[in-house]
Amino acid sequence: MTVTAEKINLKGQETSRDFEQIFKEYWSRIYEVAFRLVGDQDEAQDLALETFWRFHRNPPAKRDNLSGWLYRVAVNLGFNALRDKKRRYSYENQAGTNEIEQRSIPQPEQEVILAEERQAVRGVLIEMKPRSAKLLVLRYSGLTYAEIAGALNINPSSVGKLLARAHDEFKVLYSQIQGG
Amino acid sequence: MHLSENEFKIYFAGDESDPEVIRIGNHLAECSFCQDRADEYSPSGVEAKQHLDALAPGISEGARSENLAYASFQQQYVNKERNNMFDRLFARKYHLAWVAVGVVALLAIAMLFPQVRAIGSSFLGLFRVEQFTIVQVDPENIEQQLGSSSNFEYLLAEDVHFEEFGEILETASKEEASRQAGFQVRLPAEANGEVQYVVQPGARVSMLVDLPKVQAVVDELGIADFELPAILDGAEVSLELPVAVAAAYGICDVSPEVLREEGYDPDTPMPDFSECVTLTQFPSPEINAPPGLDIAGIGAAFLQVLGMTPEEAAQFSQSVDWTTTLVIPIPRYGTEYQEVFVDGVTGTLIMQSQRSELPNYLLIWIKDGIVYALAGPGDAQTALALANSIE
Repeated sequence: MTVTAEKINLKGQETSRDFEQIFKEYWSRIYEVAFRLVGDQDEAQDLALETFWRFHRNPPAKRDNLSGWLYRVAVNLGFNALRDKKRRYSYENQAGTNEIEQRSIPQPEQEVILAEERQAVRGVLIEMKPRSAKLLVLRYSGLTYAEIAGALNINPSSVGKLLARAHDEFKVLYSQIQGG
Repeated sequence: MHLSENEFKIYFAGDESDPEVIRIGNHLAECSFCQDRADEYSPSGVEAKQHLDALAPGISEGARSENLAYASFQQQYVNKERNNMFDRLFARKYHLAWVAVGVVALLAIAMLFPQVRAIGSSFLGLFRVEQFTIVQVDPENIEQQLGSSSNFEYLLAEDVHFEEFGEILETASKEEASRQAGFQVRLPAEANGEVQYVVQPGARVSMLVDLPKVQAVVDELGIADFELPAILDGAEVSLELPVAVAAAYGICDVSPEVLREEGYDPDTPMPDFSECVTLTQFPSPEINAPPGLDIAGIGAAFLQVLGMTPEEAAQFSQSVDWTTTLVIPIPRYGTEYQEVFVDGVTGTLIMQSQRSELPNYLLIWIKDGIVYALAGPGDAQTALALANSIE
């Protein structure tokens, strides 16, 4: 089935072909932003699709910062999902179910180490100031400073400084969390 | 020419107001080669990058192809749109938001246009909200009430249009927020932590009235003694909402995107505001209306939408001066409210308390034509201390 221009109806400014083009152009990068936060392929795909669905249904009024809009929605959805995961993890830990689950799945050592590192890094991100955490996720998802500035509504010339502060904040929190 | 090691060091060690730091920052913003090298010179950049790289998708974890993803998108979302639209509109947790829109629409219809064609553009009444009155309602009843109307969802989804006058903006300072908003923003001196400012643009809610449809909704909702004049049919009705400024303290995700999306999608978790204090302020909204309109009758209709019986609504409505009073519905259970003296005027303090959670407050008052709403975690004393420190 083809999505019709009427159906998309991006405030009369884009046709279905435009939407498809935008979708395909940004798909893998939006997915990567989501994956870095949730670490699960299916969930990351759902979040990426959700991002495009929001664009499809309620697109931004101004089109001069389209990529910034998409990245912003994706990173916000990703952080919401990460917070939810943290809460669930906490409940499961309290109930002991997480431990049982972890014991029952044998994994190669390298995968275990990577999984633990990812969990630690996400644990730090969730504790950071939201803007700093988003800066880091977007930067290491491959966005340029201009794209980050567009996504987070900040001045492009401030991105370097803000990233440096985010690095410092990350380092301190990581040491604290790993240090127990 | 790319940045040298020394320039990177100046940039990371220097003050943001230093012209040299600004120059380097401007270059960095444009130069992707230099951006890739910046981590090496940021004091904690290398270490942070090393950890964050662990989050990158592995070989078997990458995105599926664009074509497959696009096919999934069409299958999962677009094809289901028609079936899900009404479920989404009436998802439990967003019901109240739609009720608010509906109420605005009803009030707009009734207040603004009955005699507009007859009297031209001369509006003879000018209302300004000067006070609040609380009415406690049972959300379950509202849901049941609105769920009984098969036309209501069409009315909201198809006929009501919401237009924002600009983008939601984050500003860096109180002064900038004041400038953007067009009024002097005030802040609580006793609030702790970094403050974030968001300027919400003014907005216009408009609707092209399909009178038979609107009357069908009114009838289906069982609103007694309420008829819309025939002259309304085909008229465009509208209500203009003022610019608002929100100042947020603590852990608050108040990015424009979150605010734009908040309350919109039933499938997305709401942002966590459990450690966030916000002060929202905006000029008191004005409503133009022709004279002789049965305002109390419209108010009674509004109260019936909120779940009151016609008799209760009529009685309550007669006790309210609808031209100066905004009636705010709050859930009957889990909330308490009281009048308080705040900021030199009388305000209303609403406390919400869920089992095993800290109480939350919402304190609202109007001073010098500006509406203030302070919300956050804590007890009444916390709320009042903060509100009374506003300057």
